[in-house]
Amino acid sequence: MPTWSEIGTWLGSGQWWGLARAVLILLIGLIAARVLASAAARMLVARLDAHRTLIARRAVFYLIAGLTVTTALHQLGFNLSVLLGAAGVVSLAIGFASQTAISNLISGLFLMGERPFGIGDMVRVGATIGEVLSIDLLSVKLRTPDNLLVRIPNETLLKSEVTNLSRFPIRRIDLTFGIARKEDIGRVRALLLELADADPMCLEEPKPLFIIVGFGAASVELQFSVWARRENFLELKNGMLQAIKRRFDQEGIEIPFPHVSLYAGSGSEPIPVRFVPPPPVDPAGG
Amino acid sequence: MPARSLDGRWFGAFEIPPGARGRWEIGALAMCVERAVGEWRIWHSHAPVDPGLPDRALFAPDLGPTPEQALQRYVVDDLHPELRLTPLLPDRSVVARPVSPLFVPAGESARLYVGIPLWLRLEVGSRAPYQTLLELPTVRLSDTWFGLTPMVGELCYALKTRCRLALDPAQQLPYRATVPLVIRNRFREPLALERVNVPVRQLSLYAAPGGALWANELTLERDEEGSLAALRFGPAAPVEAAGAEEVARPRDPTSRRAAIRSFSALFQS
Repeated sequence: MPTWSEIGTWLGSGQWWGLARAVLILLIGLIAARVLASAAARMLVARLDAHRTLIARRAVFYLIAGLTVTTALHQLGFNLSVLLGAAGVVSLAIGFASQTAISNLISGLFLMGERPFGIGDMVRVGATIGEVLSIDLLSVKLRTPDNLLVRIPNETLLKSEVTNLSRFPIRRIDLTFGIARKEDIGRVRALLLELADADPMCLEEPKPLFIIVGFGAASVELQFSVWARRENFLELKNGMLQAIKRRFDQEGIEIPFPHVSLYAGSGSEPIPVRFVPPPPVDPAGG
Repeated sequence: MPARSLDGRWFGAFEIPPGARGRWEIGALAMCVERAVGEWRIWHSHAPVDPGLPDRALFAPDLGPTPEQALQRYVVDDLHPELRLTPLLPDRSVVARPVSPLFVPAGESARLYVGIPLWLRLEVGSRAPYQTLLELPTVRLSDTWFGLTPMVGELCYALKTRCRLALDPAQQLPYRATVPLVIRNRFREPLALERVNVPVRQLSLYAAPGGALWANELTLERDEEGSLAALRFGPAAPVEAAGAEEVARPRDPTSRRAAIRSFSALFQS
């Protein structure tokens, strides 16, 4: 604990003035950093989205705060070149240790520039579908439809295929099913187009698409694609499938379940089946 | 309670005192409104779109809702018994597609009449500005996309139209507004009219003395290079509706200039 006389000597030497200056610079600098960061955010909020505005605000704050701290240290008499040298060695060590984190950071910057999706978009990454909650420095957070939080590293996103389900306002719904081979394909096509026409949610244009995919093992495979507003996707899909089932039942059009026909040979007779009664049980046990 | 509005038309102010009700059948829309203490009760449903839809804008006082109609309740303090029915043009552009292909040869011009099914706005209150309870279409038109690609474009309503060249008063349904479309083709190739995007949000609605409803005339000119030279909105009711009064203002009056930027935004072939 320094004695009173030591404090008095120190006060008299003028060194306290350097400390006071440093503290003053720090205080003013940090306040200025806060004010300028808020001002920058207010100016940019009209031009950039919420996420980028936040990044810009933090960047301005840390830049000014960094300058302030450097100036304050200089006032206290520290030799900054030594500090910088030490910082260089430390950052090299940290760099090697944090390759993954740095990679995620850089990937995040690239993703921000490319903007394949934004906050609020529904995206599919691999088998995961979710709504983008936030795009952070190292990862992106998604909320799945069953309300779970998924964290995906930015590096993964940059390296893999990401499907943005919300980018365009309209979406095509592909309905695939098979009809029995005995059915008239032309008649089925006309019925399906009629059903699409009757549903107001089904867009008239782009026109519905009718494709004969091929002949399956037990059926003729069809694809009927209709377009809807993105928001009506699920409702139209359910509605169309219900309407198709109802109409097919009314018209007697069969959607067959898989079945296999047995033939003994070309132009063969039906295969005879004979029931053989079980052997009588011998009560004597012989 | 009278079977027409207070000014004798199928739309306008209807007096529905507390405890009373009335049913409307306008186009495919069936609607029932009941005035209860402190609230307005509205039931509505739409019949499927049917080309043979009867010419009807009927009001039957004292009739109640039908079982398939869903109820919506609006809590309103004002005890004023008037319900105002205001006809409106739809809330999105309408893509009119001729039932049979129509061509305007080079150098020719055509005056077509397109009938646009209307919407209805239900308002209550003792004085302007009235409180809007609900807006309903008289006919539920199908959604459609108007754009060169599925990525960029506009969501509209689809309408199959006969694009008549001569006005037939018998074909003017009470719940449809007639839009005169003047198309001038100064390009060297014929113009195939497969679909026209009618920007109804920028049009006013007028009621002619005989009761027919009209919108502003639209003039579209294709210049010698094949692009849109002019898109003009008629400043007032069209000539066929002399003496008409304006019953509804455009939904987007200020965006008339920005409405159409390219020929392909109106005609897509």
